[in-house]
This record gives sequence, C-alpha cells and structure tokens, in this order.
Amino acid sequence: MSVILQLIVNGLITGAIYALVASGFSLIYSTNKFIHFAHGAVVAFSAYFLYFLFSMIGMNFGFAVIFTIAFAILLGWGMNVVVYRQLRKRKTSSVILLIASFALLILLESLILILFGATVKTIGFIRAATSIEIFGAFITPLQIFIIISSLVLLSLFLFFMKKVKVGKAMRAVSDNKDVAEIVGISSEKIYSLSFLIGSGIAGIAGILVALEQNLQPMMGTNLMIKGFVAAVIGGIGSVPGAILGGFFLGLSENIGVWFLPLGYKDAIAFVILFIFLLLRPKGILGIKKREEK
Amino acid sequence: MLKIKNLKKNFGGVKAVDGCSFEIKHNTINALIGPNGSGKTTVFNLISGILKQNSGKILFDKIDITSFSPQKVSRTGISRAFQKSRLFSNLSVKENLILALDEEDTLFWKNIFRKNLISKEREKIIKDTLELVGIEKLENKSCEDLSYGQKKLIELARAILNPHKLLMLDEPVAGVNPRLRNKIAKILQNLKKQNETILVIEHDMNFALGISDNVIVMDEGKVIASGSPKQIRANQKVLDAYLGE
Amino acid sequence: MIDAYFTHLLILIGIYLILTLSLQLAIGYTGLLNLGHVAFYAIGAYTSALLVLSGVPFIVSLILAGIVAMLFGFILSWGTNKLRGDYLALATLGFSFVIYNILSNWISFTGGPLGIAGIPKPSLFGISFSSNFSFFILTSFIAIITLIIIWKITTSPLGRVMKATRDDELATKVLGKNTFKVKTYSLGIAAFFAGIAGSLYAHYITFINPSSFTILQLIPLLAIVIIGGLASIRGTILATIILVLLPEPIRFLGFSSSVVGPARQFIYALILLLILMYKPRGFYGKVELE
Repeated sequence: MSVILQLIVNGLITGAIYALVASGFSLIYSTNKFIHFAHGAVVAFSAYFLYFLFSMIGMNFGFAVIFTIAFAILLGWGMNVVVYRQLRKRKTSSVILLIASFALLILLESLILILFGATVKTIGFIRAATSIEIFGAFITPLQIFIIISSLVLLSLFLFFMKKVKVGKAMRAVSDNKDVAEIVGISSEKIYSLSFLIGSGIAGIAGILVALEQNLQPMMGTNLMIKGFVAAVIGGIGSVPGAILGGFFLGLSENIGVWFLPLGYKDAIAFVILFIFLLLRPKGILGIKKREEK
Repeated sequence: MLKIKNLKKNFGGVKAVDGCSFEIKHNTINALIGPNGSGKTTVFNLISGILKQNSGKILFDKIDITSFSPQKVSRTGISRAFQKSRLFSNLSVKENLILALDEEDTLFWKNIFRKNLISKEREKIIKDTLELVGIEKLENKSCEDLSYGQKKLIELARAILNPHKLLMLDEPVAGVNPRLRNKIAKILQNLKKQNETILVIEHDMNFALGISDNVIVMDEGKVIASGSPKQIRANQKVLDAYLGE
Repeated sequence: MIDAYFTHLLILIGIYLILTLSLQLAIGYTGLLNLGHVAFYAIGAYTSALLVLSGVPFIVSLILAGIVAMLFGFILSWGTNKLRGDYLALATLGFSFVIYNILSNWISFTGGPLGIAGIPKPSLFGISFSSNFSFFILTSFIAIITLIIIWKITTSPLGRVMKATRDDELATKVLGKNTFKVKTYSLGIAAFFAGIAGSLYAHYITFINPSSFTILQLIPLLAIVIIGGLASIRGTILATIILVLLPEPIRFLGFSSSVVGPARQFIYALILLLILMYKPRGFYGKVELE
C-alpha cells in the first residue's frame, strides 16, 4: 500500500514539473499556433544560469533565483522578437516556425555544452534532504514545496486566463486571431506577452528541476518532449488540459516504472504520445479547416 | 446514375445537410443551386468522400459509395473540380494534367526505371484539352504564375481529363468574365453531346438555368424543389428562399 | 597525414550525401517533415554491426541494414499517415527518441551506453577495405548509386505523384491516387538509404554507441536539405559539400575535442536559422515549406 502511495507521491512531484513546462508551452502554442520547441531550452538554460549564479559565482540564493527568472523571461521574449517576429512578418507557415524553433533549441543546447560541458551537475542548495514520512511514503520538504508551489502558480495562471482582462484577450487571440484584432486586441502584443509569461514559468520549472534533480545538457529536449506529450494528452492548445496532462504523465511514468526497467521511463511518454496521436479523432488535431475521413 | 438518399451532416450543432435527397440521370447537365450556406458544397464534399456523413446513402450506378475514401470515389468514376482551384502550385500545367490522365503512377517497379516521358497519345489529348479550354500556350507554365481565370480553366481541364462517368464542378464560373463564362457554357454543352453527365454548383442563376436539363434547389440543408429550369423559374418556394422571408 | 585527413572528409561527405539525398526525398519532394531520419541511420548502423559480428558477409549486412531500416520506415509511415505538418514532425521526432532510448537501454542486445566496439572494416569478395582510400572508393560508389536511384525516382511518374502529394494531398486523392502508398514509398526509401549510410558509418568508425545518434545529429542534415533548397538535388549536393567542410577550421583553433562537437552543431543551427529568416528557399529551392 505504501509503495503505491510512494509511487503516487513521486508521480505528483514529476507531474508538477511537467505541468509547469507544459502549461507555459501550451500558452505559447495556443496563442501563436506553432510548436515552440525552444521552450525546453529556456527551462534548461534557466537551470544552468542558476547553477552559474549560485554554484559558480556564489551569489546569494534568493537573488540568484530572481535573476534566473528574469533571465528566462528575457530569453523567451528575445527569441520571439529576434526570430519569430521576423518570420511572422513574412507570413511563414507554422512548419517553418517549428523548424526555426528546433534550430533554436539545438543552438541553445550546443551553447550549454560548450559553456558547461557534458558532465552532470548538481546545485547543492538543500544539502541534507531529510525525508518526512506521510502514511508510509517518503517526501522531502523541497518536494512538498514543488508540488504546492506549482499548484499555487498554476491556479494563479488559470485565474489569470479566465478572469483577468489580458488573460481573456489571450484566449480571444487563441480562438480567432482575426476577430480578436477587429475588436482591437493587438495580436503581436499578445504574442509577446505569451512568451513573457510562458518563459517565466519555464524559468521557475528550470529552477525546481535543478534543485530536485540535476543538470544535464539534454534536459531541455527531454522536458520539451514530456511537456508536449502532456499538452497533447490534455488537448493541445488548452492550458488547463496541459496541466492535467502533466500530472497524468508524471503519474503514468512513475507507476509504469514499477513494471518496466528504469531506463525505459522516458519511453512511456513516447508510447502515450503515439497512442494519443493515433487514436484521437482527426478533427481535433491542429487547426484544420476541413474535417477528413 | 447518382442517387442521394436522405443525407445528413452536422458540424457541432449546425445542421449543414439535413435530409437531402435527389437523383441525377445519365447524360444530363444538372445544376445544384441555393442561397449561401444551404449546404451545396457540403453535399459535394460528402459525395467526393472528403467528409463523412452522419446518416444517409449515396449510390452511384447502383454502388453504395457512401463510405468511400476520396481516392475510391474518383476511381469509381466521379471527377470533381473545386470552387477555389486546387492546382499543384509547384508543378507545371502539363504535369497537373498528366496526373489526371496517368492511372499507373503509383506503381513502384513500373515507375522507378521508366522515364517520365509522356506518350504521343497523351501529349495530343492534353493539347486538345488545352485547346478546348482555350489556353494551349500555357503547357509548361508553372501553376503559380497563372491568373485566376486561367487557374479555373486548368482546374476544369484537369477534372475533365480524370477518367470519369460523372463530372462534378463546384462554381466553375465564379468570378469569371462574361466571355469566359460563355466559353465554359459551350464546353459543358459539348461534353453533354459526347455522352457525359455533369453536376454543377453555381450561384450565377442565369448560367445555371441556361445550361441545365435538371435543377435541384437547396435551402437550409434540404432540397426544396427540383425540376426543369422553366419549372424552377416559376417556383414560388425558390423565390422565397433566395429573397428570404 | 594531410592526405588521410582529406580522404576522411571525402568519406564523410559521401556518407552525408546518402543521408541528405534520402531526407530530401521525404521532405522536399513528398512534403513529409521527417525528423526521425537519425533513427533510421542508427538502426542501419546497429543492424550492420551486429550482423557482421555474427559472421554475416558485409555486402549482405549492408543491404539488410537498409531493409531493416526501411521496415521501420514503413511502420512509421503507417503510424503517422493521418498527421499533418507539425504533428508529423513531433511524432517522427518522438520516434527518434524511442529508438535512442531502446538503444541505450537494451544492454544485452545493443551494448547500451557502451555501444558496440570492434566492428570490422568491410570486406567484399575477399578484398578488405581497410585503408581510408579504399573506403573512400566504396563510399563514393554507394553514394553515386544512391544519387542515381533517387534522381530516377524524383523524375519518374511516381516522383510526380510525390510532388503532387506535397503540394496538395487532398487534391491528389481526389484524382484517384493512393497517397498513403506514395508517402510510404517515400519514407521507406528514405529510411533504406539512411540505413545504408548507417552501415557505412559503423564500419568506418568501427565503434558505435547511442551518443552518435541523438537529435543533435539531425541538425546538419536538416540544415543541408533546407539550405540546398527543397526539392533540389543539385542544391543538396552543393550544400552537403559546403556544410560538411565549413566547420572544419574549428578543429585547428585549439579547442578541446569536447567543445568542437557542440561547436559544429551550434554553427549548423545558426546557419539554418539565418537561412530560414533571410533566404528560406536556400540555394536552388523552388518550393516553399507548406
């Protein structure tokens, strides 16, 4: 019994991180209508930036976190301004934007490898991780913090999307950009904002991953795939869906690992991805003008 | 030749086609008309196999083609032209037309070592068809560079070249100048003389009633009237549908 | 010394050419955004290595490497048939990850992260291709055959249907063509040649492990296909030569080897980005990505 509870707890921790990554990605996808691959790079680079500030330079942890979040926001916003906006001006298709974002992802990951090398790194902020036992399952204070803070953050995010004026404007643009523009919403501003918010959340996710797990150069790609799978499960383009998808994926992975050798954990996500891509009614895939047999 | 029985299609809550039935007889020109949003193009898409119906049947030469894929519908003998021309923009006019003629191009071994030569026979057919629609000189032009009218003619030519027993044309003269409109009308009448069967969606009432033997009128997803052009012209229900209540 | 280095570069160009021409068939000619190409490369490499180490003659292993990769290509095509543009890209990328994952974890079969070592140089009819120069001849020969076959396909009626499928799949279907079959041929053939390239790679380097087959390896291929110009064989050849040679000077700048690798990928990614932003048709491309 306590084993199952432990698996669920582990699932919630991983799920919380996936939900954070997926929600930011989903926000950007639903407003911009293309797959921003490089989102994973923002997560990874934030983690490494925190490592740089805290573990390499020795900056105060609190300041390092603040600077890292600012860095993440700047990075995401920068990608939009420098690359995506230029491409959008020429009315390129979402496929080209996807390839460009893929190139950005590789660009940033190679940069991480060049600057930091390939060895796995850790941030020793919370040294002695003394676990608390709850109903037979073990959980550290950091892990509790991760779950709670992500739930809080995500709730705020959802509230923002539903009730706050700007959040509603974002949903309008994601529903129908042309109509939104007619009523006076500037889609370029909304695009910018989605990158700001999405990348900020990505930054936070990066920090949490860095603290809870470790830093590897390919972590960005990894988390991006997981984030995308979570978004697909929850219904692509739906931020609440992405959050649910994130937790679902986290739980599936951790429960699945009980049956499979540890190394195959990542494969679970891909299998789920294929199942969803194959079985989903074609009408829901992407934004298509025609339903097809 | 073509029989539609009680066809229904919903999109979410919208009943695009709501119990539509009609029949097309062999070697006739038929017009499917009706106000905007009455479901005409949806019916075409259902027949073509592009959309899946919610209920109803489509019979072509006694064969039930209701659930056929677009490829299968085409192979069964229905050729279709789209309202907004869907030409292969990176291919030349000639290549677009050859694709319609060539029925063996998806066979692997036959093709891999066969040169892309078009037989003299087919060259002639293409030339003739282009002459038919009046644009012989454009054979090797890339489809990207064609004008609106030219694209519509190639779309028509391609549909004609696709081996068929029934030709379905979605607004073949939309946005086209009067001279071209008459040319296309003549082309369709000539096709009928060659024993062809044609079904046309058209907004231009004069064009539609001018060339057809049989007219089917739709409104709000249903057939509200059908008959000869003369009968339709005098039909009050049709006038009401177009003028609105 | 210099001789050996240039021969090495020519061999790389040959292997890359096989990879990029086959990728061009899928992306540029058929419109399939196949980001899983590296997986086929990996499958070919491992298949060939394992077969030769079990005593199967090289020539048979080479062909089987292509065939096994091709079978995976068919499976991928079947699985992704209904997917459009970006979803297809993600699914094929996911496929790449699954293969990488399996290669890293199925230790009893693939050696896991340590990979397979001691892969013998190829020997055909008793002649051993152990010198660099002889391997260069072998690679060039196979690269030329690849070029001829792919050129023949793209200029054949089947190639025409592939292009039509790329431009407008629905219109192609409405003309009675089985586009699923066409897409499957395209992906299968692309996978076949990627598998062959993998075999060549394995027998050249004589040692393979999963780290040679991550998605980072995709970026030079993608960059070449786009920079050369979609659906242009000329462009692909030119871009392959230029892009394989371009980052080479880094080696002489004195960086450690662990930097040179990522630096190459960085350059490729940067060039690809710049081309997409300022000259998306590349050198000879006539086709825009849809």
